Amino acid sequence: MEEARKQIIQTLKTYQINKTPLPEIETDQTPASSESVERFKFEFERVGGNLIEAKPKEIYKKLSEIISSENIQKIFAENFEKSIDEKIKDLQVSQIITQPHSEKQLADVDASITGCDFLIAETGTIVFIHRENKFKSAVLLPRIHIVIANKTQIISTFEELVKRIDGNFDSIFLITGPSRTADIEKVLVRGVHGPQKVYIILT
Amino acid sequence: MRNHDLTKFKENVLWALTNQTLRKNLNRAITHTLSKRIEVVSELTNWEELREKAHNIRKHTIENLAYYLENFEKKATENGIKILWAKDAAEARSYVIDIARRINAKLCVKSKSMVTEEIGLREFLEEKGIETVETDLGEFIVQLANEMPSHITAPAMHKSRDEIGKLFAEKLGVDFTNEPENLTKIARRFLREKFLNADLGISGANFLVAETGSIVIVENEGNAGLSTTLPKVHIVIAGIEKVIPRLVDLTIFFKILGRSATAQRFTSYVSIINAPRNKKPDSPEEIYVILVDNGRTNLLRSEKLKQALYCIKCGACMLACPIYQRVGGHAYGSIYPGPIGSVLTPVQFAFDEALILPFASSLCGKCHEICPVKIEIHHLLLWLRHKAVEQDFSPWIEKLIFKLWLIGMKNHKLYEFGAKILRYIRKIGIKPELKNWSKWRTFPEIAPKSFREIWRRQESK
Repeated sequence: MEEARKQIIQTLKTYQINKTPLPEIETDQTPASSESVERFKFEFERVGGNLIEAKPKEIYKKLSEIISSENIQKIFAENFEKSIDEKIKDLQVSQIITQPHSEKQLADVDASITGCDFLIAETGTIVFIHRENKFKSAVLLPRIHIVIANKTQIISTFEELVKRIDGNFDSIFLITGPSRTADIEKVLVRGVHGPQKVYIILT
Repeated sequence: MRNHDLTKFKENVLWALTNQTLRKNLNRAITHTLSKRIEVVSELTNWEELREKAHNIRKHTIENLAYYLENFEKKATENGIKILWAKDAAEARSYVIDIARRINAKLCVKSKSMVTEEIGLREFLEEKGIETVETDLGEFIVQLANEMPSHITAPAMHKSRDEIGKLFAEKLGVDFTNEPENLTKIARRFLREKFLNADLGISGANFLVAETGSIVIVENEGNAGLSTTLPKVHIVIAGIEKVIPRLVDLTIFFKILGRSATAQRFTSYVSIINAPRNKKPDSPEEIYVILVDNGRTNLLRSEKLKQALYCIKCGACMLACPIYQRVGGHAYGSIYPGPIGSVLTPVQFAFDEALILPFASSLCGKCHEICPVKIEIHHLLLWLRHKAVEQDFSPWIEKLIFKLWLIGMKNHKLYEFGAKILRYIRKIGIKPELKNWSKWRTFPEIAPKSFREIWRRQESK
């Protein structure tokens, strides 16, 4: 290994020339505005997402509606602030998991309810920064993914995200719409390995 | 049909050209992607500026590759990722098997990666008794069919839904269906089991960020997200050219990559991985990055060919190429097909028998025009042809024709005399026996009088 490393680096150094300067990237400094909210809605729906606007006190009602229309039996729910957690407990489902003991258990639920870190208006993207207590597989394994988010989490561009996180993260996962493929005759099919449907309840 | 022989290029082409189903499948897939691409590219008013920036970022990086790789290594190591360097395919494979044996891996889930195709990783692991499953739907289909991918981002584009339905029925023992939705469900069910039971996840990388030590993987299905999250060990295999300087550079590459590869504004999933599990509940305990040379430094040695390393493997040049459009990826017999593949195959892998590939081009420049990082692919192909001719590549008859042509071009009297003879031969009804030409198109008629003759007559009037 050491030998391979030495050899490769040495060859690369022989041909190192440093002629072309690294281009500057102007970061878009436009702060998020009401336009960003509209843009986010447009882009998120364009990639096949389902956006539901709600007042904070309507969260429970909207969740219940999704649960009955999608025939959801088992759910995984992340820890939210207390007021939301208590409402989730009252949902009419057969099982609510909050502390899965394995990924197999996550694969067994119909829907996961999670928060998120940011929403990117330019592309309709949901941003998850993974850390303690956040399951990455919880957003991928179930058939349906429901995100509870707030308009204040909307940022204008990916550049803005890079600026905000400042290289300080363990892992980032960006989701733009449901899982999709067009590998068979270019026919769009949703829900290959990840969720078939992604909902955002936006307060 | 796996591993088409490079030396059988001409046979492969004839086979492809006469295969009606293949032509139909290719035509459908290519037309669909290219027409959607126009929509998502033309809505960006600064597309040319983005290409220029992307080109310069790649150029700068390749000029300073040692610097950025060392930076990446340093940062990623600090984050708890283990970096390994491999000169060639054999070395890369040996690292993988060592890790797999140490953790006693029995089942490996793989997400799509061209470098692993390059080093024949799946076959190698299977030979060593480790079940290895491709989890990208297109790759899963070509694995079941025991074929090579025919395009680098749409591996099964050469297949119709009927062919895939038959394949699934035969190999997975399910009832025949040709509905893409049902076929996808079958694959989901089958692969779900594999994801949940795999000990080892293997992926490629679209980018490695030097500044933060990040591994960046873009995809649409969620299979890469699962392959790099569920198994307890994750191995990333990446070419040494995959590094980019800064996290913010991704803003440029994300805009051009999805649009060029699959005509999408943004791919469904992006994983940016900086560190193994730490306190997260469900990430791999160990992450390895194997940095693979495998002939990439061959390209770097040539001032001319070096720019082939700017390639971000989007596959747009293939879709745009009039040759690829007609024969498809398998005809090339190489891991990387199409225009960029015709540069990489002879040089990166030093395959002399692949020197025929640069001739499989009309030199129209469509590949350059569509390339999101502005590689002058058609110039590189022309230059490689030049090299091939220098290496005594052309047949004796071609050499003879060009010798006669040269004599004629140097002496116009001789040229006119030669032309007269040719016209006379044609006039008395002798048809030239140039089968390779006239089999596929009408032989052009020779004008009864040359332009010079007509001109002279006009002058003398």
